[in-house]
This record gives sequence, structure tokens and C-alpha cells, in this order.
Amino acid sequence: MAIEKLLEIDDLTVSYKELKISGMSPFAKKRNIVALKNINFDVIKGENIAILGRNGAGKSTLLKCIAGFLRPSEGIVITRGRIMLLAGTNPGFQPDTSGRENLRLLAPLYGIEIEKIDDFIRGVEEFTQLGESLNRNYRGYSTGMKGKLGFGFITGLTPDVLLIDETLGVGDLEFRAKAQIRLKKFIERSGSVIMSTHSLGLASEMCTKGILLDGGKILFQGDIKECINIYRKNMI
Amino acid sequence: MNYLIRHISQNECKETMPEGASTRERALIKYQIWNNIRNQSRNYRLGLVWLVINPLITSLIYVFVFTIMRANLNAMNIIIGITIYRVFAQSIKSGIASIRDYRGGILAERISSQVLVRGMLGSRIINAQFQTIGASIVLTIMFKVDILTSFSLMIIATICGLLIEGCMLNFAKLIRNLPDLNNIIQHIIQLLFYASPVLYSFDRTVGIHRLFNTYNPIMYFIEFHRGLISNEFAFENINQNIFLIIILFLTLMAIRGYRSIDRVRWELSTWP
Repeated sequence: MAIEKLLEIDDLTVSYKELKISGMSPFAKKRNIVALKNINFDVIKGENIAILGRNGAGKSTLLKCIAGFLRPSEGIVITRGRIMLLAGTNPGFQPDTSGRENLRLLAPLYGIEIEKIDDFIRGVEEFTQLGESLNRNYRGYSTGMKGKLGFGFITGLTPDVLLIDETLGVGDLEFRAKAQIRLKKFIERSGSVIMSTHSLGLASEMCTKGILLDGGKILFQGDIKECINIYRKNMI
Repeated sequence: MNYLIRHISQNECKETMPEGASTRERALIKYQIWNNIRNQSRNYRLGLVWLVINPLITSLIYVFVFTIMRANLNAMNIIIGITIYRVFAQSIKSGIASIRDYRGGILAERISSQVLVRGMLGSRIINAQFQTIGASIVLTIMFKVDILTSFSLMIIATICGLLIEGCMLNFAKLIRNLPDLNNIIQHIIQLLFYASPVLYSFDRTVGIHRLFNTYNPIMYFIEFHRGLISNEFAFENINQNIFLIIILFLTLMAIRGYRSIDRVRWELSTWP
């Protein structure tokens, strides 16, 4: 049986444009910032990858590019299946609408069939245990509550590749433990997870492969334990 | 395998949609329209009612001002002028700002540009309808204009809105690059309110003012509806080719603008 590649990244380079106002000049200058340079890797179905690196190494840029939110300057990314990116805690919730109404509003937009929406909301409600707070406006939620709702929502869906950008850091200890269990179930149920994280414990527990980024370049890719060791030696 | 396949490169983010994706696309388009309209009224208790009554209130203020000044007043002309002008001005602003929200409110998954464009078209149509329905009702009830002619204001304003928004989309990238132009455009919009035949008829313009309005697209939309009511078109004496050329130019530019969204959205994704 042929290996099913969900993601192929070939020689990916991403550069941003930045406007810089200097001195007394009324005109802004445009500057190119190279965020990623010559990135190459593949993800096969069922593979879970941790992306490690310092702040500003290019982890979030890489995830945004895979999700189709950023234009590469060079190279090609080919994805097969639905890709979702959970960056921060909000998949698009409306601030002046209750958590429950938000779930009902966004579920069909993320592909949940009408007849399955009630079950979906029940599932998210059970996971988040927000209780009566689910009927309050989203605007009034604490960061932890927003994190629970966003994470519960996204992991209740069935993307083929889930990209997580630091989101598991939100919430209390109980939530983190529950989130890990839910993530494991999600991985069993569907495709692959690529997570950018600073939590080495989480990375070693959830992922089989690690990619170490530094200054927009891949320093190492391979076994997660080896990746963590190199990260510890060079970066901490 | 029934997969969405995406090729992401510098030139494009090309997608091959799986079967059954159209139901979700319809839901996304409805959401885009709902979200755009809601964003304009979310901070108000009366919500969308403001969209309907705002043009009427502005018209009433000008009718009041002209009554005090004992100016030669035509309240019906003012209502028609202000209603179409408001749609025109909002379409300019919406066109140049459209590219800011290239994720369409869905933050965890990329939605196609086709959905964004259809959502934009739908929002513009509904916005224009909301802004003109009040004036149409007033024209029917207070000025005894027949119902078809009154409500043709909604169609004319909608066409004006779509064409102007589409045209302005061509400048969205330039304005993102040079945000200062945004300020200049705001001043031009303000100037157009007084320079165009919004509060007065095109018949009253002379010299360079008349020449300017001969090439001013909003004049044709406003005077066309006034002409439907009075059966006398103020631009009858102008060379009709100018009218046709302006409409053709606006149509071509609007099509180009709406078609450019996918490319511009992609290019601007790595801009500040």
C-alpha cells in the first residue's frame, strides 16, 4: 500500500513585507523580513509532529503557511484533506453572542451537518464543562474559558490535519490534562497533528517526530526525543 | 480519495474541492453576508433600523436647512440624491477596505475567494436595499409616486453600489500600499456630496461644474431615477455616448475588481 502523504513541503521560503518609518521622514520604507528559508518535510497520515524553537524562529509562520493563510515567496506546499489551524483560542466566535449560539452558528460553517449539530454542541459542552456560562456572551469569557471553548470546538471537528499553535498553554491544569486526552482521541479518530509548542513534555508525549527551527531554518528533523535533546543543548 | 487538495505557491493558493462542498459554501456565503451587515449595526440597539432611517434623517435635515434658507427646494430630489449618494459613498469605502478581512471571519480554516466574492456581492445588494427601502416608501406615500417607480430606486442604487464597489476594488492594493490615499479619498467623497447633483438638479449646473458632472457617474444614477419620476431626464441634452462609455467603463472595471480579489488577497497576506 502506498504511503499517504497529507502534506508535502518543498523548499518553502516565506518573507514578510514590513513598513518602517525612520527619523523625521514622512515616508515609510518597505523592508523584507525572511521568516522561513528552504523548509522541506512531509507528513504522512497518522504522523504527529512537534515544531520546536525559540520565539521568532518561524513556527507560527510555518503553520499559517500550511493552513493557506500566507503566501510563500518560494517553494510549494501541497496539502491533502482539510487543514485547520487553532492559533490563539478563537476559530471565529462572535463576541456579542453566547458560547452556545456561537457553536450553533459556526458548526455548519466548519462542515457539521445540520442533523448532527445538537450532538456536536453536547460533545463540546461535556468537554468544556462551562455549564451555565455557555449561555453567556463570549465577550465576557476569561482567557481560559475562551481556550476551552475554542479547543473543544476544533477538536470536535474532523480535519485531516490539525495545526495547533501554542493553544494548549491556556486554561488550568485540569483543562490541560483533559485537552491532552481529547487530543489523543482526536489523533486516533482522524489524521495528523502538527503542534508548535514550548512544552517539551507535551511534545514528547503526543508526537513521534520533531522539527527544530532556528532563525527560519530547520536545524533538525527526526525522532522527537533526539529533537528535544538538541533543543535542550542548543537553545536552553 | 475525496479530499480537498491545495497547492500553495507564490502565484496562487489553488484548491480542488471535494464533492459535497457546495452545501458548506452556501452556508459560508450566508454567513459572510450576515456578518458584513451585522458589523454595520452591532453597536446599536436599533441595529439594522439605522441603515433604513439614516438616509431619511439626513434628507430631513437638508430639507429643513433649505426651508430656513428659503432656497428653491425640491424635497423629493433631495431624498433621491442623498439616498443614492449614501450607497455610492459606502460602496467606495467598502471597496477600498474590502481586502482587510481576507479570512472572512473564519479564523481556523481558509475559505475560498469565491465565497468571499459572493459574500461581498450579497452584502452590497442587501446593504443597498436596506438603505433605499425607507426612501422608496416615503416616495410612494408622501409624494404619491407610483410604486414601481419608487421601488426602482432600490434597483438603481443596488447597481450603483455593485459597480462602484467593484471599481474601487482595483485600488484596494494601492491604498493598502499608500494608506494616506485613504484620507484623500475621504475628502473626495465629501467634496462629491456638494459637487454632484445630490441636493440640486443637474439642470442647475453651469460651466465647468456642468462639465465635471457630465463625467461624474453618480450624476447619471441620481438623475436617471429623478427622470423616471418626472419623465424628463436632465442629461438628455448631453451626448448619450458619454453616458454609455461611463457605464461600460464602470462595468468593465467592476468585473476586473471582483475578479482580482483572489490574487490581491493572496499577495497581501504577507504585507504588514
